[in-house]
Amino acid sequence: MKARFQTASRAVDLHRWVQSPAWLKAFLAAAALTMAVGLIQLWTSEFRSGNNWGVAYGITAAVLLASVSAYSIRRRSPGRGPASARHWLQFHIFGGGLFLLMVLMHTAFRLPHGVLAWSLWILSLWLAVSGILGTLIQRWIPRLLTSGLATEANYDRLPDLAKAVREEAESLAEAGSIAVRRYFQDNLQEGFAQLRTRPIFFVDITGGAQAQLRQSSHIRGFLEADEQKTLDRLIELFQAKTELDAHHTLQKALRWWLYGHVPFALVLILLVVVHVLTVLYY
Amino acid sequence: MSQENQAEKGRFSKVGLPVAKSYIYPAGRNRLLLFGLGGALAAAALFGADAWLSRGELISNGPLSSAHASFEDDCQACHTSFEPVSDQKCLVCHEKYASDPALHSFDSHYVYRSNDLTRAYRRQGETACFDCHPEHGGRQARIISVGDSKCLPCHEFDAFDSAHPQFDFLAEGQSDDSKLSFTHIRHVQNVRREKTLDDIEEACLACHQPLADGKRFAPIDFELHCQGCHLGPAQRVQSEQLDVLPPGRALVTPQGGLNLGVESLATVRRRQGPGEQWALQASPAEFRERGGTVVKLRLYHEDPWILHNLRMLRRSLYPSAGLADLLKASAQVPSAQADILYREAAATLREYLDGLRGRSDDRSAMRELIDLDRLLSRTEERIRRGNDPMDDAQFLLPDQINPALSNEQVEQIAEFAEQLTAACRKCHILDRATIARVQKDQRVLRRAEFNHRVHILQRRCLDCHGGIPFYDLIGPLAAADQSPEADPQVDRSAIQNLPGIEECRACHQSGLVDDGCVTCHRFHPDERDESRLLLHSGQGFSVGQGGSR
Repeated sequence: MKARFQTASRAVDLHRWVQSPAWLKAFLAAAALTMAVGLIQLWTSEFRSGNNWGVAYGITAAVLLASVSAYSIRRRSPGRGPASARHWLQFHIFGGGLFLLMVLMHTAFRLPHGVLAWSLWILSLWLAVSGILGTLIQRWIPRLLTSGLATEANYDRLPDLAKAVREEAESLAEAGSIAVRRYFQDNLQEGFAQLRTRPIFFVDITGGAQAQLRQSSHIRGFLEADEQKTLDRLIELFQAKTELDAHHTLQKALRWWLYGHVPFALVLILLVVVHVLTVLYY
Repeated sequence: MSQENQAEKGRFSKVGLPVAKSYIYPAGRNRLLLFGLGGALAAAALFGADAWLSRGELISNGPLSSAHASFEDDCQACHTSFEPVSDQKCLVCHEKYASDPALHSFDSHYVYRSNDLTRAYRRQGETACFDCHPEHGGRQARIISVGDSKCLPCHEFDAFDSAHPQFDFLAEGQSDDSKLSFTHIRHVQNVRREKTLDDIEEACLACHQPLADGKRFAPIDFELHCQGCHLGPAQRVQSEQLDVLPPGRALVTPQGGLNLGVESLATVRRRQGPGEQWALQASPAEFRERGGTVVKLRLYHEDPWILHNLRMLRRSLYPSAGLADLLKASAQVPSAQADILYREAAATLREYLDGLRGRSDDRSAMRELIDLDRLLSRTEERIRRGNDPMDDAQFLLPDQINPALSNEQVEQIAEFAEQLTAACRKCHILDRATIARVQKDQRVLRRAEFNHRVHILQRRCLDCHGGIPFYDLIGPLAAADQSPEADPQVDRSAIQNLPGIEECRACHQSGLVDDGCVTCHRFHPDERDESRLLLHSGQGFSVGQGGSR
């Protein structure tokens, strides 16, 4: 049964954006509970890092950070450990969200003081933002690749495939007439040169290929039948290369967002250790 | 999957792309970890170097407040390894005395203003200094500005503009216990006339003179504020005609007889008793004795002849008055000001001693001299131990009146005392043959501070002190000669001419003027008792030296 949030105007399909509505509900329940605890605290005490409440939030945040970070270990050990990888991922995502909430409550929803505290605060915020961004990317780009492109391509094979397409195109152009060769050199050759990272693919999966190939219809009328076949093949190869560029751009995003997430997580873990040690020491 | 689809797998539209010749190993993700570990190690090196080689600026929670900025380089001035910040480290500077209860402790807070010494005992788990005064908030942080949340766990008053209780003096209907008979309107008119003041409020300031801090007013002082009109050089006030007690005769005879009268100056001079040196300096010309009666032609404030005879009358009522005999007036003072009684008693004892030492031929006085000297030493020692609570109860008169006197005799003595002090009683109150002590420095708001200076910019005196209808009863200066008769219903000294909490709430409310607890209330006792940065030798703290203390 599809989980739906009914709104006044239309139903929002949770499955489209959330892999596991059950985890989302659990997260919302945990966040609501945490906020309720915060309200009780507000009623009976005050929001401050240094009192028992604040320390409890801090400890919970540290435990959550350690727990969600264990996903990285679980990911490198397929088939090992309790629960399925899917649940680990969901815990990683929603546990991370809860971690940020705990950090904010630990800091009493105030801006921190000091380099270390600021570093912890900014890194926590950054990890949450980059995590959300990564989650969205991983939901969005695979859909884009499978629905908008004609084929699948392994990211690690993209250079080989691009090279094969380029070689075939260059040999075709070499063997073609002067008109075809000139058209190739002026309009297409640059596109075959190498795998290109083009942000346009995020908004237009065709990469504007039609616009680039518009001139081909103009010269087609001046070509013999054989030359037209060569031109058509060149256009097919160009379209293929454009799709390889799309794969390259989008799959790169799938891989590279992690560089904005994982290394910062490691730095955060270290700084949390420094923070705990300084709190204990001082 | 169909055969056709399977054949198309790996093909790129109409372009047949080559199938991989060998298994493609995905690029390792270790680079991610290496990046992260590199960053973490760099951060560790940075923080480690900062902690080890530098001043720990990076791990600090932020700069210290301006007041503590000199400790920025010295964490150990406040911190102790693996222990919470101790109050003791704060008290090294912020405690004037090392005695217990300390000024900045909760003990002092409990006693502060309540004057209830039974509350001065140490409690477990008391709030630490840093709970209310958190540091590392930056140079501009005002760590003495404490939020209401620190007070509310104990004081459940909530918002000032809605839930704060009415001031005690109004809630409990307390009257102004100044122990003076006084009417404001007549005095204001007299001051206006004398100083030709148009503004009524200027006349107020003739007596109510603000202290330098702008918060309070100097205590009303006879010499400064009253003598100009009362009992001054220009004023000739004489006593009533009083019967003279014949020399050698006691007020109350052993047989229970009563001889009401005053001792003449000559009698006192002849006796030269302890504390009676005043008689040697008094002028006989100020007395007119005729037919067994005497009139003192010139009276002074705290007139020694009046006080001497009043003491005699009191002794007849309370033969065992004890230390109360050493006071010029009654012993009613706020318990925090009990030192006033001790100082006055010590001054009287010194007079007694001087008188006894002057009688060197009288060997019988030696024992009395030694006893008095011992008593004076104890009293002065008690004054010196300023931090210990003083017991003012021992200066009070006993409840028991001389059992040898009948009720009728007691009334006769009381009437004679009133006759003796008729001139005094124009302003003072006589109670149990004793002048009631004037409460010069009255603090009606016992638990709160009020700063007149910051308020006078916003409002005039009589905007708030409207308990006595000055504007209604006092006309223009031209009519100041026609002093209205004081109506005791609207103008008497017992009226607390102070506003209620509603007056404060007109401005002090949420979203308008600050209405936090610390706006009016202080946690620690009076700031005059605060630290003077005394150097406590035992704690090895020194100012102006860097490095470890």
